[in-house]
Amino acid sequence: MIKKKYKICMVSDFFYPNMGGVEEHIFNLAQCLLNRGHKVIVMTHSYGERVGIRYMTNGLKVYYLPIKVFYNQCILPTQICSIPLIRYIFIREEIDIIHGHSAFSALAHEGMLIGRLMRLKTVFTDHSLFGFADTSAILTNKCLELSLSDCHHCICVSHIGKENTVLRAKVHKEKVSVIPNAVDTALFTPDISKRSKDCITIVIVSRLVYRKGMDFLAGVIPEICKRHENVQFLIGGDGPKRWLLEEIRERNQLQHRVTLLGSVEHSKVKNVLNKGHIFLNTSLTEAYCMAIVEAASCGLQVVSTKVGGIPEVLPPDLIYLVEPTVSALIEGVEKAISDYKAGNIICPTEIHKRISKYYNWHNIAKRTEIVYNRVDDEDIRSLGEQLMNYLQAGVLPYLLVVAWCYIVLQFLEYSVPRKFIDIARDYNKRRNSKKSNSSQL
Amino acid sequence: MMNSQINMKNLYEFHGQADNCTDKSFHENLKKNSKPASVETSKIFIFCAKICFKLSLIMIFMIIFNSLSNGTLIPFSVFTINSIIGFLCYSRYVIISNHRVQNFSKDLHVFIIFLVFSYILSPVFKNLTETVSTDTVYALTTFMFVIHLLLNKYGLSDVSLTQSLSITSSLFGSIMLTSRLPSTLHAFCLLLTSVQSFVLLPKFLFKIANPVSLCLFTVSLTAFILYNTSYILLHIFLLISLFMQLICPLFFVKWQVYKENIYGPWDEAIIQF
Repeated sequence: MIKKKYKICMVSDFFYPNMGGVEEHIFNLAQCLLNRGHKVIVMTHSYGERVGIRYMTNGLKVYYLPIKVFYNQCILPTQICSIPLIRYIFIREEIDIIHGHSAFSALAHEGMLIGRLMRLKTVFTDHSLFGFADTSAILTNKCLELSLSDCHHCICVSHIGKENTVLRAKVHKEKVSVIPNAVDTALFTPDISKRSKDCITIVIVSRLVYRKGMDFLAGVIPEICKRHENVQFLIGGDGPKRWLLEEIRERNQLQHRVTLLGSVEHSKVKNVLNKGHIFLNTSLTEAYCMAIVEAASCGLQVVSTKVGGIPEVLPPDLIYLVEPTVSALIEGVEKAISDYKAGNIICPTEIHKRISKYYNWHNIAKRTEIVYNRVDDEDIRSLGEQLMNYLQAGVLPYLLVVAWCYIVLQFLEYSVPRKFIDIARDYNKRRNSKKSNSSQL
Repeated sequence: MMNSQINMKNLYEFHGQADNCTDKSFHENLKKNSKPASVETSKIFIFCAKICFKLSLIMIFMIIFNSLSNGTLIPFSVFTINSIIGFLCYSRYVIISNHRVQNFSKDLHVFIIFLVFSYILSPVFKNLTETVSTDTVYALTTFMFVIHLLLNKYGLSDVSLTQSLSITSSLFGSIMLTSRLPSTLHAFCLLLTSVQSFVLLPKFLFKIANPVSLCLFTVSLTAFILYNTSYILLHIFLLISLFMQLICPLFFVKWQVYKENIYGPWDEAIIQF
């Protein structure tokens, strides 16, 4: 049986030049899907001067829509203002499946809504965890429930993430798949020669924000420095909590032992990691922690707080899991240091091999493909059925919004007919067919 | 036990199951209402009593304004009542808080400054909104007092900006009202009453008395005065007081059972030092 090739549109507010877990995920997944012969485009909002179409590696086409950022790198969710543009792109690129990323991204939800009304299939990947206690969580959870009540399939990056999404968006658990992130292990290789010979380096690479537990770090650094003469800290990343670390460094006179590198480019992270012996992660909550996998891939010992999906990510012999308190973190680092001194560690290349066996993007892309197949087999829902699905969330006014979007789409069908929209050429297609021809020869 | 659980739920091994399958450990770590409900009935009643007390203070203030403007009360008697209440409360305050001599002179200093300046400035206050139409003045005053009620702190422990906003809005409301009074002396007396009842009295009275009994006393006092002025207002006031003092807290406590808190591994860790 010939496998069906899809035309997929990744929609998210977060994409290159922005840097982070979601951006990384979209880019790598898109690359692997392109490799497997699918057509993939990415849709995101404009970043400063960056508006229009850009091609990235392997002809990955990126649409930077001319929509302004409203709050927290997200667009204003008007639901209707960008319908003409998004519809035009979907038709022009002959999209079959819309894949939205991140619960915080308003553009992803908007794209999925329009897609469903145009009778396309939608898949949504949730990258974050959310509590249930505070007002903002209650509000965002309701919005997510609304958006996902008619979504065809959801993907979560960890089992905890799935439990969380099932609870907060009230999606049926059969409709949620767990497909983890992966790490390009070829980029993160161990190199012991870069390590310092006479002292132990503890590396931290993360954004310096509250959620990443910088307050814990501020407690750990002075204590560890007091106990060990030959330990130094190397901190990569920038953020609002940088002053806290600078203050701690100043107050304890640790300028020569604590280095703050500022923000580090993703391609340079490897160089930072290679300088270290131990990687420390102090996150307060995390759906899936890419940083610890990258560190393990570089052969470092990993000490991390036991929150969210982190216990699922690495096997117990590659990670020191500790409770999220300063004292437990200090103990964890102590244990890692004493293990290192006793030579009781696994060889870095060994760790690297194991990680590259556990995680690679091709495997992830294959598993995502299964989801696409599943979604493709589902029946197309009529407007009535869609509205019935939205009704389950219990917010009646939202039905009006959906219906209004539908009317706008119908009007556009009349004013900008499908047959007058040019179909974009897929340059990758020719290359792919050539590739398959040559392999047949 | 911990080990077996980790093995079932990991991301680094392939289990041979479809990605959307769940095992029986799904939602195993979910906890509901693990923290006991923190609502104490008595606290809720005290809270509501404070709101009621504030409301009746506003009512009394409005009655005083009304009687001042239609001439049933003369400024002198308002001034005398204010001074007597002020003196009694201050002396009680001195007794319970072990005042020292320096503090006396400090308090006297503040008191004289306040008195002199509000007396000097009362013609200005009176003229301030004279050109504004009466309806606008009343509407704005109502609005200001609603804000005063909404933003008040009512003994919640957080340090708040809203408390000072609340006091400011009540003073602003009373300054608006002074323009509807016949003379500057009237205006001065009204300002004095306003400061006394919205700034000093609540602060002091909550220190010495139980809010519930305090509230009952002020509500009955207000009801008594209203009985002599307006029946309709009396009924509305009594209904509102009853609603706020009894029905609201009862429902609040009763409906606590419908509150459901969900806790799980996805919750953000709390930093403790």
